[in-house]
Amino acid sequence: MWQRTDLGHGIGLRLAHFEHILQQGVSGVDWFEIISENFFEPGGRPWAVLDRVRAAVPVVMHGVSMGIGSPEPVPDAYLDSLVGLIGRVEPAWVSDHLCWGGVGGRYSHDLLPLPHTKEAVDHVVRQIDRVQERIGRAILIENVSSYVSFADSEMPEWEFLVDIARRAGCGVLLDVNNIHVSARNHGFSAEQYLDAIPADCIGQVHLAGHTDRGSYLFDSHLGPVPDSVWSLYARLVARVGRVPSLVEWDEATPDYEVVVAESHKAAALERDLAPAA
Amino acid sequence: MKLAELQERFWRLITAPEPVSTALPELAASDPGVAPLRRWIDADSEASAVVRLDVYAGMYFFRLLDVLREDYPGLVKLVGDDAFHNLVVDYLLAHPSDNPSLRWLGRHLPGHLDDHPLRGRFPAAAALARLEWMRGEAFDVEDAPVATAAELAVATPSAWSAMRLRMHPSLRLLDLDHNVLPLWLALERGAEALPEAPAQGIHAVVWRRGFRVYHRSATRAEIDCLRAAAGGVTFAALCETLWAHAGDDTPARAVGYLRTWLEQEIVASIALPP
Repeated sequence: MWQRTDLGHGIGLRLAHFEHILQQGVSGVDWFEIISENFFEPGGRPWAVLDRVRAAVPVVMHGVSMGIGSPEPVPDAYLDSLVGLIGRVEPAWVSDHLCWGGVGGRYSHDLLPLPHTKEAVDHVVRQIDRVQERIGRAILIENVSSYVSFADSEMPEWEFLVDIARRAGCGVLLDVNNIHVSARNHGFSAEQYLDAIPADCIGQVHLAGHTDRGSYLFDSHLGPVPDSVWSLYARLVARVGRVPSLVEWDEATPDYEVVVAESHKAAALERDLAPAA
Repeated sequence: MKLAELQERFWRLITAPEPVSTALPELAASDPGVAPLRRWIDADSEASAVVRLDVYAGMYFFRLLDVLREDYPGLVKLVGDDAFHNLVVDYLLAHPSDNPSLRWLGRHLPGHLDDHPLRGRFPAAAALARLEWMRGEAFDVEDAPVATAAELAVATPSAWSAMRLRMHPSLRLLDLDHNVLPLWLALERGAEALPEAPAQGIHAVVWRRGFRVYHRSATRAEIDCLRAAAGGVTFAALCETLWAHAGDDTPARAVGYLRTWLEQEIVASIALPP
């Protein structure tokens, strides 16, 4: 069963900041999140940076290719790589996305949406059970941004997410930006979604920017966290209290200090709004 | 609709080389249940469903295109953006990603170029791609210590014969059908005038030193010796390999190679007999 660890506020470890970290070290953040698959290869500059980071602050692992809802089981080779990486990184926790990624051993490398059906719940829970048994720990699953919803869906996304988390005994990585994006794209209430996630499920929060493409919002991770996302984050921490947050800024990533300043905004909001424990 | 059936239909539509509006009637010819989309996709209109699925189709292609552009920056410059885009369309049809890690998406591209029409216009494209891919492999392969010449100071003549070299894990040995090394350098430097890459077979060595990846040309004799050393043979056996190329000059040449490899940090460790 998942239990939240209060790490504070972090940022994603990105290539744009490798040189800064090698030259000046780590400062200003409580922890880093790495993209797991970027460290499946064992050496070179990426690992020199990661070793530097690990010596300074906790690290968590966030995968993008597990494909927990894909038709086929998560490949053994992938799980072997993940287990090896966990052993080397010793992350505070491990997360991936509530989505599917491919069919028949082919991969989209995208986060594809699942229909919110009982069949999909059963399927994903079985897959998470297998992953958690293999890696020997509970994982976090993240809600994704979506642009398509399905006629067969039997429940709103928040029920789908919580039902899976409860049954699989995993936690939720709640991406507040993804809630905002999907709410706009599918016409549901972001606040209703946010309020429906039990506090004890939530292990981490993601904060990021998005792009308005006219008829839909796109989860671009471009630019600072917009006010619409900060509002949802404020609403969340006012209800659930302290929760580790992470800022993602993947497009046109600015200087290290600029991204760190975004994580400080999250910390300040939490200080102001989180109820006393 | 069963989950697996939905996923198969979704997959076929977003990975087709055409927009969803074109791919849909083609898929419907063999799978009538896929159309209209509103039968299984929740949307205000059929046009809206097409637009939403096209978001995923676009993300699929352009994410993979971006990865391959990063893996093959010189090739992109050589053939141009449009030709590279079209090459990737063909490539993904022949070699959709079969690994959860994007790191390996591009590994078949040099072989794919061997038989691709683009090679008619750019005969050196496949050789350039091979070099770029191997440089990418060397970039993040496991780290290793570096052997130094001082380790040989205590070696007796018999120990020299029996010693084995462990080469750096990043070492890659290439046989290329065009001499693309000057071309690679010009592309790397952003030169406007690109040199010819003669259709002259060459051998190349790729390795990482610290965080930086290097490559250079090598003679057939040196490549044979490097392959022998990487295979774990003794220094005496390595000299036997070299004999076919160097004859009586073998001892001096072998020591010369060893000195170069140590200086260039291509050797990770030296195992001397007890």
